[in-house]
Amino acid sequence: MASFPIRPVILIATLFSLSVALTPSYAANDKRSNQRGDYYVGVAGGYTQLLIKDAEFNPTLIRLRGGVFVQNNIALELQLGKGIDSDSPFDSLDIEIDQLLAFYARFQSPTQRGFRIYVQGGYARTELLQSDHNGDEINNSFSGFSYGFGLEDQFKYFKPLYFYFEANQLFNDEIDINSANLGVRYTFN
Amino acid sequence: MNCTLSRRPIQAIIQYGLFIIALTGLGACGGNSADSDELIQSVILAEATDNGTTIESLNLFLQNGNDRIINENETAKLGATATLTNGSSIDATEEISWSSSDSSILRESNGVLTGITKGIATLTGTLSTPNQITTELLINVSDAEIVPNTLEVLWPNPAPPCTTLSTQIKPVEFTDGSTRNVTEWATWSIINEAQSDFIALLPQEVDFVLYTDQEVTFNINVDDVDYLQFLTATEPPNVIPSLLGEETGLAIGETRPLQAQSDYQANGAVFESIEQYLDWSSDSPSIASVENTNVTGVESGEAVITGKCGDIDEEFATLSLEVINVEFQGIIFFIDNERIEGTELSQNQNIGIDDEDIEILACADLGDAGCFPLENTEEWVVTAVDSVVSLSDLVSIQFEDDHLLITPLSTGQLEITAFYDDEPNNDDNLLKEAVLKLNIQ
Repeated sequence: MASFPIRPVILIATLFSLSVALTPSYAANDKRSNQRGDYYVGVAGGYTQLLIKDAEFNPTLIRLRGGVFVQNNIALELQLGKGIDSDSPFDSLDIEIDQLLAFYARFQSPTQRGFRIYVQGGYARTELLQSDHNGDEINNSFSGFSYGFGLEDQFKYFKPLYFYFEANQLFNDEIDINSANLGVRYTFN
Repeated sequence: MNCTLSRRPIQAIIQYGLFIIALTGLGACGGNSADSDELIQSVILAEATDNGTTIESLNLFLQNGNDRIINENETAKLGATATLTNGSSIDATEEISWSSSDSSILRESNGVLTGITKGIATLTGTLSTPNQITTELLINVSDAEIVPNTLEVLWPNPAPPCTTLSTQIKPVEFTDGSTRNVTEWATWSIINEAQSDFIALLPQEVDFVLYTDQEVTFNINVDDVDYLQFLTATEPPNVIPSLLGEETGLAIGETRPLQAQSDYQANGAVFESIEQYLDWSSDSPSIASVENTNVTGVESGEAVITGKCGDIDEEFATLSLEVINVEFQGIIFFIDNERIEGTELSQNQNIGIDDEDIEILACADLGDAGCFPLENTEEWVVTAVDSVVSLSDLVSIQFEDDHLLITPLSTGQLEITAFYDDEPNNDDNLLKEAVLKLNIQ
């Protein structure tokens, strides 16, 4: 595995998250929290940056997310993504995101005047689809530790809804995959 | 329809799902390196394709010039030329990966081919960047023997001593009817090693230097047969010695390389720097000492440096040197050509309030080497002594290339500090400095 030094971090973070997730007491029900809902789903559009040698590709990505709060302001989250477009610096090569799978532990701040920040860390697997000028297609997948942070704004007229901006690093090695997303998140019980 | 479900089962299902995904994800970590390499390769290819510089064809060859034939026990360097789609050609020898179809006949190692036994084998060369392209070459391994019982060596003419000379063996006829270059196959040696040296053994030529005007005996071994060959040097070349750098003097403690430019006629003028072939010595090591091709100033005086070639009595190069004391004595200022130095610098120099464009120069007094102009005037520091009047109220200053022009604006005192770096290559060196005190009245 290329990202060998990261693997223990992923393992520890994941095992910690799983141990929290599998505990029977759901602190999400803690009434002192201003967290709304135990579950959430969301959708986002993302601008992605693939840095390969000196070349930069910018595929566009749609991401769906679903999560469950396992502690007060701590959630486990699953993300699925699909590329919808690509911007390549070359005429003879196009690279887009075929699919994205990410599993995060999310740590968010309490809401202050409708705003909150959050960080997330975990594992992401990004599948890239490269197609050349002959129409040949090759899949490459990149997986490893991933992290991100974001800012949320609660919708004034419909409290369970949040708008968010989020930045992620999906992969970092010989190539870099970063993304910035704008989306909405709906919380419910 | 009752949509009210128990929350705990839903949470349990989600958490179980996340657990499975997490384990799957951790287990799937791997293979990134190969995928990265593949993607990087694709980008390199795309860049080349867009630039019209993908590889169109690949030409493989033996660098010794022989045409797809090698003898048993012969070694030959391989070469490759790639033709790009934009029409240009590049040397791709270092980038090729080679393979032999039958290593019992033909063996390849690090771009060197070795004939093992008689037969025919296919040599394959593959270039992977920017696009993959493969070319095959049929190589005939022969067990033929050399027909003539002597080799003809194409010696250079003229062959001046202490210059780089090139030679090659005239292509040789073999019993299989082929005529081939054997220069690379041959093992070259010199009977008296003090008389000559090999500079480079190349696929099609051997470069060497002669250190004698006597006959030199070379032993050339090809296919386990020794062939003795003889060469006598011709007239020495013209040699112009010099010290590296524009200045002819050498400072005490300074070390500078010696140079020797040679020229002789051989189908036109041949020029070469030959200082590395000469044995250099000084007639006064206490003034200027020589080590290899470097001369160092020891104390003030004159010395003659001579360069000789091997056992040849004649001196190839003679260079007279003056070693001078360039010890830093101090900084000298000039106010409109009036020299201010030494103890005068501790006193205020008076200038009139009505004067205009007073020229201030400075130089570093380097003893025998003269006064070195201090030209970086923008690095000089000019300060007003009286803090009540600012510098800009006191004088107007123009920083010219090698001097300052100041015009007094009001009465007062100012100081000008000039700097000299006596070791410009040493970043930690403390700068020498001097202060000129001016009194405007």
